Amino acid sequence: MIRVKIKSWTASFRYPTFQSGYQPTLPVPPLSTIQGILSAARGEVVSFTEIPFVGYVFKSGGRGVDLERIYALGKTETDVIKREVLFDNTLYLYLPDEWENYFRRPRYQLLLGRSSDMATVESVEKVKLEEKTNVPVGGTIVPATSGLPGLVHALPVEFDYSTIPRRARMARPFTVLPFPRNNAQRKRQTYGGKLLYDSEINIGVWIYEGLHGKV
Amino acid sequence: MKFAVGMVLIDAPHSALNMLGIDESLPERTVTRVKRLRKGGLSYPYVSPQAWRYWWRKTLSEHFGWTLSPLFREEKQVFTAANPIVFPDDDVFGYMRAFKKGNVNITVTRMSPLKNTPLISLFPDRSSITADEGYASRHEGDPVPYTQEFYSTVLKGAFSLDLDAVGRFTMVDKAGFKNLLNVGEIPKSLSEVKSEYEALISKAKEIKAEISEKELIMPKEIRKKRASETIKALRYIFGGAKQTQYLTDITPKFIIMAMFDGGINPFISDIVYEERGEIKFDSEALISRILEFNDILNPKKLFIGKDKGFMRGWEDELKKVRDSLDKNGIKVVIASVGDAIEKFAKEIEAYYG
Repeated sequence: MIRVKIKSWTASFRYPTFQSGYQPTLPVPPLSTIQGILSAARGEVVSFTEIPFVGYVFKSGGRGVDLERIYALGKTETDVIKREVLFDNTLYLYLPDEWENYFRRPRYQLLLGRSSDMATVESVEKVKLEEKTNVPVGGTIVPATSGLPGLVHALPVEFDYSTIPRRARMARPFTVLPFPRNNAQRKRQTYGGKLLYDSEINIGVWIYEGLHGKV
Repeated sequence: MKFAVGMVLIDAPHSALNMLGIDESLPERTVTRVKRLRKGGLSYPYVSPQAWRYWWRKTLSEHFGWTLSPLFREEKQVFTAANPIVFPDDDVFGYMRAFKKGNVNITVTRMSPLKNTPLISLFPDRSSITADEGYASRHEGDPVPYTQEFYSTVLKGAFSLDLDAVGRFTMVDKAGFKNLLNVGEIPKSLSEVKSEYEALISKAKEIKAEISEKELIMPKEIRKKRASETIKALRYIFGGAKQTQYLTDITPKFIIMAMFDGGINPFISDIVYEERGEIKFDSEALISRILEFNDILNPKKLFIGKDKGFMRGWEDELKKVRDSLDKNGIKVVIASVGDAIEKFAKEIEAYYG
């Protein structure tokens, strides 16, 4: 498999339950954001059904709050809302080898969220991950059924782009696991089962295989 | 696919270009604060990406005579005209016009070919921000105290312009790709929209745009003009809050630009960084980033603009970049900021033929 290292100065991932007012960001991207990045790289909408496996780890250096003027539907005056953004981010994608070409020459600009969250590919490497048991997971989302403790959210897996506006094709409950910052968190987020382990980043990688309809 | 990408440094020796307002979470409610991003124990001042875009759009209007798309309201909604044929800013900056009447949904969206990051301070707040205590007073009555923060720093920003997308509008039924409607699909009941579109299409025919079922491509002269002026505007860009009191020149003092056959911007990394109160330029980082993507660097040129008075010590580092990339067949043009931008704009024009 390959590991694509993507970096960005800012990132933002829509928090599902907030509709207006304060817009927090999820600490890690949902799968639908990964679908968007893969689609931008390939130049056409990608579905996870056609990808044998995909995994990701996201790390963020910090965060901040931005103000944004919005024009709300059905309201004449403008509003200023607060939007949270993540700062200095790295996303590692674990993909089948054939994706190397797309990430060496992405068809569209890669974004980690909105259009200002421009990202760049720092490297594409072939990696061999070892399978291990009892490893910490983080910087990703795992199915709520994994038994790992964390914030559970119903998150979109994929979007259907054939309708305007796009619609979530499927949403499932996931446990959101930020990248562990200390040993206590690593311990808490340790998964008992078998998992691929990236020794360079020192984290277990949750791999989604044949995702569609099975999550 | 072809992307014109770059990185800028903006010198802000005493500035408050984009403010947060009063932070209600603090006990003192008289402090107007600057926006900050936090990282570890440090915070970094920044300017919103949309603020930079707003200055950029304004500069295109005032320096290059662009007629900006009007904002108008329909049934309490606000949008731009969403007419990229007539209004160049709708083309370059994108739009969304959500339109629904009864059961008919005729929403158009255009992803912005021009994307930009926020402008982020290289110095953390503890070595860049000052709180200025002020009094509003006219020698009559009691003076009113207030406090406002401002910073002395250098801001970094990056941008990317999708040259293929400029002047090219798709009419595909896919979210983000329905830039224009097909006249045929607009129901008769929406006669206003229909006549608006008939005018739009006849205008496109008049200027000899290429029109097919799925896309509309503007004549190359127009695409060339819009794309190159977008980049040229950086040379004249002006705007920002508190200019009366701080008068910050927001034109870049340092700029790196190149064209790539892929949607990457290798300059979004730590080519320029702060170390013990000094701003450093890492020539090795820049060289390795360019070589990493050498296969999609096209033409094999890198444009670097630097203001003579800005970071005098960087000249040697820049020479290193030039010598090292030259060995790999990459030409490095080092010039003043204005010249570098003009030369880069010429390359953009050459792309459209």
